[in-house]
Amino acid sequence: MNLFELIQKEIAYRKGGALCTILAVVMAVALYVAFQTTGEAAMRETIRLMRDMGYNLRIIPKNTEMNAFWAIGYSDQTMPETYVEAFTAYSKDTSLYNLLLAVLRQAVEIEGHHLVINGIAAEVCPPGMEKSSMIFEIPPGTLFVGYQAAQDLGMQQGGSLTLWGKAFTISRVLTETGTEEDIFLWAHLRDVQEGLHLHGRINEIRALECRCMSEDMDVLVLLRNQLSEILPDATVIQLQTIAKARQQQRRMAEKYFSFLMPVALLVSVVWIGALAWFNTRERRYELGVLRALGYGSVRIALLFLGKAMILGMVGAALGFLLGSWLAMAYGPEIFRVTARAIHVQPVLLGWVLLVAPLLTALASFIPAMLGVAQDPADVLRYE
Amino acid sequence: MIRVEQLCKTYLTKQGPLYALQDINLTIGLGEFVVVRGPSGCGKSTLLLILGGMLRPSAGEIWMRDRSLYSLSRAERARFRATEVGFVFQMFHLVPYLTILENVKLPLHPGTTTEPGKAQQLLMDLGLGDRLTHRPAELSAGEKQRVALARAMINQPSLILADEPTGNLDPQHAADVLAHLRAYQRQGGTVVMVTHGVQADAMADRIIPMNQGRLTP
Repeated sequence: MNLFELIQKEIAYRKGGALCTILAVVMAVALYVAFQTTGEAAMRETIRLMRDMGYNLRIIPKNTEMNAFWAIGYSDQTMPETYVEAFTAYSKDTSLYNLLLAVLRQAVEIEGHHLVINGIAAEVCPPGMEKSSMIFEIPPGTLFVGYQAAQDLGMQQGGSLTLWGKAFTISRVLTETGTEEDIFLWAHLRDVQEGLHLHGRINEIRALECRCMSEDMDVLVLLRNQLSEILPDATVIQLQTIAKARQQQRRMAEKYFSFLMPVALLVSVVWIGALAWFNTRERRYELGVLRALGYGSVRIALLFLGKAMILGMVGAALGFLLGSWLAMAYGPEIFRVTARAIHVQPVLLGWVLLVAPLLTALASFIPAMLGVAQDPADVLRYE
Repeated sequence: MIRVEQLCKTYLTKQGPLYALQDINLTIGLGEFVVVRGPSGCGKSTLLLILGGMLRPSAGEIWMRDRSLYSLSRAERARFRATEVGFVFQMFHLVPYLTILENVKLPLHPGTTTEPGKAQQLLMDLGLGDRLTHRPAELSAGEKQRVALARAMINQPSLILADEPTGNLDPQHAADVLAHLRAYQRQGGTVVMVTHGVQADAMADRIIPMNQGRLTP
């Protein structure tokens, strides 16, 4: 009788133990497959969350008087708008700056209300980098109005406001943010430059630092060093709270994946190992008899390891199906915005079919060796 | 055929050394039916396992056809058991998930040459022709022991070692099993049977009493 037949028949006989082993493999594989299948969506969701926190870098003219800057919220100095283009000379591999937004910000008084007007252009990415936009684009001749500003001026969407002698259409009234942005007016950069007679000038570039920087780096020093190469007349300020929040969000997502999987794997390995040990104990008479019938150590070991590999393979296939189903059924509910990134990944089936049987055999290795090392005389001697 | 010289087996226990076998000297000829008889705990099973190459003695030598059994490697001893020895145990030790036919075929290792249908024929000879596909759990104790006998005989070993083969059987089935062992011996096989009972005395060519780890005159 060949070993495969023996293994097959033993599995069929001790269904409970075999099912428990398969269950352990299914759980670990399903978890892995579900994580991997939803991984892209989860990553995009994390990035989106981080992006929603806003820009965390402010590049301003170097000669800005900082006390005034913090008091009024913008630089009283200006710099050429073409500074933004200087970043495009940097490749995506070396640039520490992502998503650059040229801003011209000034305080304005309208109908006795103190407001702040922001002229913004389209965002710029370093070459080769594709980023989804972090802020709205404003068509020329239109205004986006902050919540408080709209209240003060009694403005509604579709209305109009005259600024610097030019009529602007109110294309959107923004929701309340609870920040200074509630008194902001947003217009196209050209319109603001024209109105303030600051053609081709801006007073700030807003940016995101790249995700390439780790915690142990002195981020600000690196950013300033690179900026001095790109724009010697500018300086950079890092908004620490946003930077930290971004870092924490990123770290949390990474930790979540790097913690849960090893724990699940460990639990499964211990579970499978314990079941294999019980199986060895249960079969000690059988092993003694097989020894008496001339079965050598290798064949005895193969009985256990072969069984583990077969169960591992069945568990891997079922785990893949379960994990894929879970990801497809529940993933879109968890990652609503990035649900489109969730799809079955057939390549994972190949991987789990290869790795799960090996891990199952590895978990059964010590019990198998105990079975091999068991002295048959101990169980076959009655005295 | 089998020569045992100065055989000793000592187990080290928490209470001190336990002398299971002491100074055993024995010669068993080819085709002999030998019964080793003694009370429980006298070392009979230990002797049987040592003769079968399953348990290394503490001292002494066992010669099988002029080969020192324990100078063979583990793998060689496994091969020796596979081809030369058939074991029969008191508790039968059939593999529960195999049919009785599969149990009988269990000693047929890859590369073993056995006439086709030998296992079926053996089972039919032992009166189990209608139970081939049954599992051990569906058999009576007597039937189980006959299956164990067939398993021991399938490779036509030169030696059958039987450890209390009738210990769990009623007198009728015990007689049946002994008759089969006797038939095997008459065909040229050697049987060494250890028991505490007297049922096998009539079949034996020689009865060797044993007590407290020693063969007694």
